[in-house]
Amino acid sequence: MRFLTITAKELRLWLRDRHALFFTFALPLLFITVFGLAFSGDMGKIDVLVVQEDNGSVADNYVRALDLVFDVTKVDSVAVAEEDVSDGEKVAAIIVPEGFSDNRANVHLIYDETKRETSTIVMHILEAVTLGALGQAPPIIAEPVSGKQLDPFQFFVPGMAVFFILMVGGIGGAESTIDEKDRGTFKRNLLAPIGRASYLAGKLSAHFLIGCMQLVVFFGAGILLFGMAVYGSLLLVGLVGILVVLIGVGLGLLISCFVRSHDGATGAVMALTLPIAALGGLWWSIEMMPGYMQSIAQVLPTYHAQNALTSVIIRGKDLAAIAPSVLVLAGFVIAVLVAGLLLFKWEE
Amino acid sequence: MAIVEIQGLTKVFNGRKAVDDLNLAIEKGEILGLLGPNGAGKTTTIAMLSTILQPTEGTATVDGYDIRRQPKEVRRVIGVVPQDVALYDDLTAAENLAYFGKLYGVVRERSKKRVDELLGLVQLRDRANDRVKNFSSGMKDRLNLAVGLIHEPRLLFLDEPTTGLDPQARLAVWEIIKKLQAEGVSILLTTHYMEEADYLCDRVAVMDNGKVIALDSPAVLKKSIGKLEVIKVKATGLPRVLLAKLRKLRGVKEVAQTSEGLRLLSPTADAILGQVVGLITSKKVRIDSLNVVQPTLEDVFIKLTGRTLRD
Repeated sequence: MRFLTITAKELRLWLRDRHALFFTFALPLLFITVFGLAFSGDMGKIDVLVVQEDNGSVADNYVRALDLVFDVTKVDSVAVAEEDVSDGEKVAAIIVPEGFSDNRANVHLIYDETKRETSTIVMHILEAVTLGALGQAPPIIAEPVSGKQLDPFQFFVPGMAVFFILMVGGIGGAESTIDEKDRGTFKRNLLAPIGRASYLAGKLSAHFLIGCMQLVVFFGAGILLFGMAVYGSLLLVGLVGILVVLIGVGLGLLISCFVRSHDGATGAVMALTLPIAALGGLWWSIEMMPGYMQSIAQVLPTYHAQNALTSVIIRGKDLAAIAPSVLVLAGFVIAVLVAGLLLFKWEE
Repeated sequence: MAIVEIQGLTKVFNGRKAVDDLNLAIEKGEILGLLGPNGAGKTTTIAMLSTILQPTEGTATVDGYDIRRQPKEVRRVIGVVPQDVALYDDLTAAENLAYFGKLYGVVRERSKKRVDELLGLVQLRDRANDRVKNFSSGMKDRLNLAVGLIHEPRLLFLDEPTTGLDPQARLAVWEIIKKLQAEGVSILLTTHYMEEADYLCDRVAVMDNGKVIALDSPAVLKKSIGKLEVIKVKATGLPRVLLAKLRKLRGVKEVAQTSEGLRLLSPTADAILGQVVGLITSKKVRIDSLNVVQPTLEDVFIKLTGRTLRD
């Protein structure tokens, strides 16, 4: 068990590196807190302008209905409304024209196309209100699918955990090997009567343990500090988490085969993890992206990690339900580790 | 009795023989120096003996163990001190020693005692619990040496142990090496420095192009120069044509350019001094100083190869 000597040394060096500790724990916790809180609570009503040019009773009722769903500011002239929207002060203006009450004119909407998401929401709400107010269709009924309150921490804790575990595993693992080669301690370790397998086992176990500590800290903070509910099994969360840690460790090993400097390692890992984090839906749900991008996302380990974790945490799914994603992750673990071990450079 | 026996050891890199059919023995308790310019094959030889580089042909035994078939046994016998400091900056001196001790399987109680002993030997006992990153380069060099001794090796490989050290630090390392020899450790050391080989080594193997071209005690090697004397010229900006002209001068055996200027080997140094000065000044080169000196190991190398060790 001489590789444990190497593991212990790695962990000791890591504990003495304040920058590494910051990136491993403090920065991700900060991200989880900021994103979690930013998306917490009820979404406020959207501010819109209303110009009422018709004073009939139908128009009065209609504007009253709008006031229920929007935060309405009334203005007198269309010109003023248009200017406010084009200046970006308000996202949309609704104009109720002369003749609206006796059905001679239609409602007119002016919106800011640079704020696409909000404009789209305004448009859909307006359609519903208009249909309802004019009695041509039943009012819409909306209800959340699970009947549970949406908790942004259930999304951002796994998302940030996966991202930072991959990043820290990749950068930390690659840098520790690069450092040893630079310092000459790599050769000195291999001069000792230990096998190459022990050397790598020692290093990889250290970074595996660091990743596991990240898992415990991030999910621990989510549950204990932010009251995040986990509807499925914590063991399943742990299983998926460990697969992610192993991918991170393998990534570090693989990067160290190609890169010779700290900056190179950081650059290579960032270039890999940032796009797959964004595309894989670690920071937002992939339904926001166009269809072909969503198809790309489904070949990424980040997508499967986030999918499996949120399925367990939010929807309480069991192993059978997330098995496909777990298998894909296991495949990635084997691929990166085998490639890393085969490509590892023992001689300069 | 020999602790190392090298038989026909050869290493080929890209078709070039870095070490060429080397045969050499290191006797128990001796300090053997490998002397030669960069690329002569010294470091490659040590890497093969340390079992981290596979020989292309031939083999060697270390304390009876074959370097090809019994690498782990060989590693336990040898201590290797790399030329560049190889330590963990964020570990303390004692932690570095203890870590490598563990890798070599030194048991805990023995390790504690040994760490203290070695810190005493390299005069770092009062800095035992300071991190290496705060050490001066001389201190790092001494600790680097100590780490190679943690498992009490019977044979020590020192690769240029004093390169880049100031004279005082160099003396300190020399004293440690002498002490180790007194404790019965056999030592193989590579060096560029004549004085170092002269002062430390019982025997010197002069290497060039992967082969040993001379092997004897420093005194005998120097005598092999015979009646040659050395004219040492200090000057800068010497043109190449001048060397060729000096070489053709009657009574000049060999000429080589050094970092300071020139060394001329001649059986009649005093008689040709005037001509040498004349030739040099005719090329508008200013001579800073000129002496006739006793031959050193450097001159042995010049006589054997026509080049200096720093070529």
